[in-house]
Amino acid sequence: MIDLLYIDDNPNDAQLLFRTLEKQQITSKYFLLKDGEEALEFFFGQLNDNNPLPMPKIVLLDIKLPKVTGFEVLQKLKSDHTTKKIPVIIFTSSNERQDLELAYQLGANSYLVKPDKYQKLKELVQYLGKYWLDLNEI
Amino acid sequence: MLTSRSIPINEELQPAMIQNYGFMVVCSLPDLGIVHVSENIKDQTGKETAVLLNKPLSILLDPLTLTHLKETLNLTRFGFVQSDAGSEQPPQMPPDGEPDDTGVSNEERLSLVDAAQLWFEPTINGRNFYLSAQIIAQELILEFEPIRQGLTTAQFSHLLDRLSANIRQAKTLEALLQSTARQLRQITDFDRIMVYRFDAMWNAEVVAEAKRDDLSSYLGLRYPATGFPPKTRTFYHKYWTRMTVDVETEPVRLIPTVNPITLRLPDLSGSNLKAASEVQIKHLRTIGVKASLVIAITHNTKLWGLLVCHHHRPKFIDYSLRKLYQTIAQILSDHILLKSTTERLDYIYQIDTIEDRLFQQMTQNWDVVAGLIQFETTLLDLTECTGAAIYFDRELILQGETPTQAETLELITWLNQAVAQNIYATNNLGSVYAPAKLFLNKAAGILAISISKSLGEYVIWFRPEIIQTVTWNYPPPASAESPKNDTQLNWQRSFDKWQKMIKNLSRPWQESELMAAGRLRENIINIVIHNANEMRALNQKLGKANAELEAFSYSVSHDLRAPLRNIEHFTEILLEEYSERINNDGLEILESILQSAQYMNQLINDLLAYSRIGQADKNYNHFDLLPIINQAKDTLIKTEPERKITFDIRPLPQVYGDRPLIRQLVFNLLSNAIKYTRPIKDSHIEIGGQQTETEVTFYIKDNGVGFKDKYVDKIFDVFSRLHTQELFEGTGIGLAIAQRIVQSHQGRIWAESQINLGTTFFVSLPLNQTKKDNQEV
Repeated sequence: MIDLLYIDDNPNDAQLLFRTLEKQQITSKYFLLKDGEEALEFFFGQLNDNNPLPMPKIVLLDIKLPKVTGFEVLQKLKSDHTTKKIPVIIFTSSNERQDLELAYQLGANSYLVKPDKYQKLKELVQYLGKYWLDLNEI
Repeated sequence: MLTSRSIPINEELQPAMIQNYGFMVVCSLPDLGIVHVSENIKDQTGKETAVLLNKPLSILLDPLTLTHLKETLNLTRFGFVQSDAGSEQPPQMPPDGEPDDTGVSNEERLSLVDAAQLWFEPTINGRNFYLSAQIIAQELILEFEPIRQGLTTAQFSHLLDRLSANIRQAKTLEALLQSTARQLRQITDFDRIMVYRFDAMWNAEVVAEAKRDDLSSYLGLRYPATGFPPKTRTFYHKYWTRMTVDVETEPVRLIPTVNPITLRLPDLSGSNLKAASEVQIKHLRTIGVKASLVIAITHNTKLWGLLVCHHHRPKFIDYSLRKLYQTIAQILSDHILLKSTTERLDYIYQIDTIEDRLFQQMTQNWDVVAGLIQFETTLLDLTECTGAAIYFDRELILQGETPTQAETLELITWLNQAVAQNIYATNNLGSVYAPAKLFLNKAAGILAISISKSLGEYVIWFRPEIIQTVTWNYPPPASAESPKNDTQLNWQRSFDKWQKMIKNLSRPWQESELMAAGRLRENIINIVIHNANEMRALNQKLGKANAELEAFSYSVSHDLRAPLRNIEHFTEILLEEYSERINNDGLEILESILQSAQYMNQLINDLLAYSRIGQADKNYNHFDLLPIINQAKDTLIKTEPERKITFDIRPLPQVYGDRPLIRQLVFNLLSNAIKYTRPIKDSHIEIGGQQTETEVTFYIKDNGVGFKDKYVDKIFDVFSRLHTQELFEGTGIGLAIAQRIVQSHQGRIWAESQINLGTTFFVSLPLNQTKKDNQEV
């Protein structure tokens, strides 16, 4: 069972996030995918038809991804009945208005801008933990 | 049925008269009975008139010549003497105008015969004559002239060789005519030999002349068309020559005057012997001429001009010499055709060269106007004109003799409205455009090409009225005591008439000039299109560059900032979690890394802001400056709460612009003023402005540190800083952004500063740019 699936091509961002997740003792059940193609393979790949992988509790998705963009991944996830209930949080360095609008249009559950300060990142991880703690309670 | 041909033609309706140097016999056809003889026949042949009239021609001609004549006529003329069935009796002529069994009408036959002049050399009473025979209006007209000192065949061919060699050698048309006149004069010793050339209206100009040294020149004289009525021209075209031996000798009549059977006057319209008309004789007498010989020069079956020989004493030119002259005139005609063709080709080649050069000149800088006027070859060289005008790119340029600027502009407006053709030429502008009457001395004729109808762009060449360029004279009288007689008065009248005829006209434009103008037009349009394409390509490049800049900005804002952010975060982790295991020196280094990363982040943010000013869609409005200034002031003061700054905000005008950008502009300028007054104890900032008819100017004045005059422009450069980072923080982009905002509003920004006394920034923004924006869009 995966608590958090993180899709991002920046390994440093991932390293920082996962480190903070563990430090804050939120979870250690996280998994990283490095581009949109890997993400689509994870959710809709042929392998999964016979032996479905467990779905993550939450998806953290960057927009600017190699091969297949975050928006495309988001659109696929939100238009397939097997995945559309998984909460997807956009996690990006862009605070362009049009990116935010498009994300929500495509069904994103939340939109977080990657923080400049480490302090902000710690707050953000706290928020994430609360988010799916709440989910677990449901 | 009578055709016009069968009506006897006698212009004066007077008895037919012939010159005395020969005699004439008119016979009826087909029986060859003598109907008329000239009254001098006894002097020439010794035979009495009464003996000859109404007798067969055999009474005059020897049997050999008669047989010869009959045979030739038979060959020449259908149905005259039919030799079939051994019949001695010639059959009757078919009635006039009705076709006979040959299917050829009499009309056609007559014209066949008219063209043929038949020559024989009979001997009558021991005297030798040339006999020319022709059939006119169903009568056989026989003209006899005595043979005197005729040329031998050897002489003839020798002279012909010499003359034709001379003709072949001539380089130009002018030289050709001149040397031919000179050579012909050497042979016959005429007092004066001239070449007349007809213009399109049948006025004649003396274009070549050879003369006795003591005579005044007629070269360049013009004779009005009235001197060459269609009948005269037809005669020369058909019969080539006309000789008047002595204007003072009384002409002789034909006996009887009227044909007793047909009651017609004999038709002498094709006669060589025919006496000159009263008018001609008067003219010749006026200029002191006794004898003349005129030979036609034709060109392309059209009468091109005349070879006119004058002598001041009676002069008879033998048939063989006349024949030589006629042959020379024929050779001349061919060479005129050749020469004028080569000269026309030369001219076309010359125009082509000029046209090429103009094109080269225009493509040098892709500048049409400069190419047409600024080099050695100008558009004045392209046609034979006296002036030219170019209206291009909303600018009128005049060259040479032209109407005034205002007149030319009006003319162009008229052309654009009234003339549909792209290439337009007229030699009578006054007839279509009345205002032209005011500047006929500059532009009676124009050749115009339109470059753009929608922009009203034209190139025009001008020609003045012809009257201003041609001097007209009539020949001076032979002696001072002969006052202006009828002939001269006639001439004056002709001249007046001619003047009236050519009034308002310029010389006509040649086909080759129209073609050259047309090609120039195409070339100009090609250049205009080329320039438009260049502009479009440039715009495309610009568009591409903008798109690339946008992609770059995006990449800067995301990709570039990600590693920077990581550096910051990792450094912060080190500082937070490992501070106990790192000594003070190490901690300071980590702090420095963090500051550098943060500064770079700020730089990227500023750069992004700067690059986005040009791209952002602007939303222009009128709004007050005061709230914006107050807002910026309040925000900025909060960052330095410990400072005491006095603000003096004076009345401010409304501005017209994009509110977020103007807000940023004000913010940057004000933060600048606050920053650089920091070392001053009593910081003072004054803000004010005023409005003129076209723009709004506002200023922000501080009493800060100031800067040296030489940096007054440098301060607006991206990342340019006049102070160290320790003294005043910042990325050095604030003023660059300010300038870019102002420039994107088509405004101006400048600064005045003195070290330690302070700096004033001025901003001028145009009042309302609505119109301008629309144009640019």
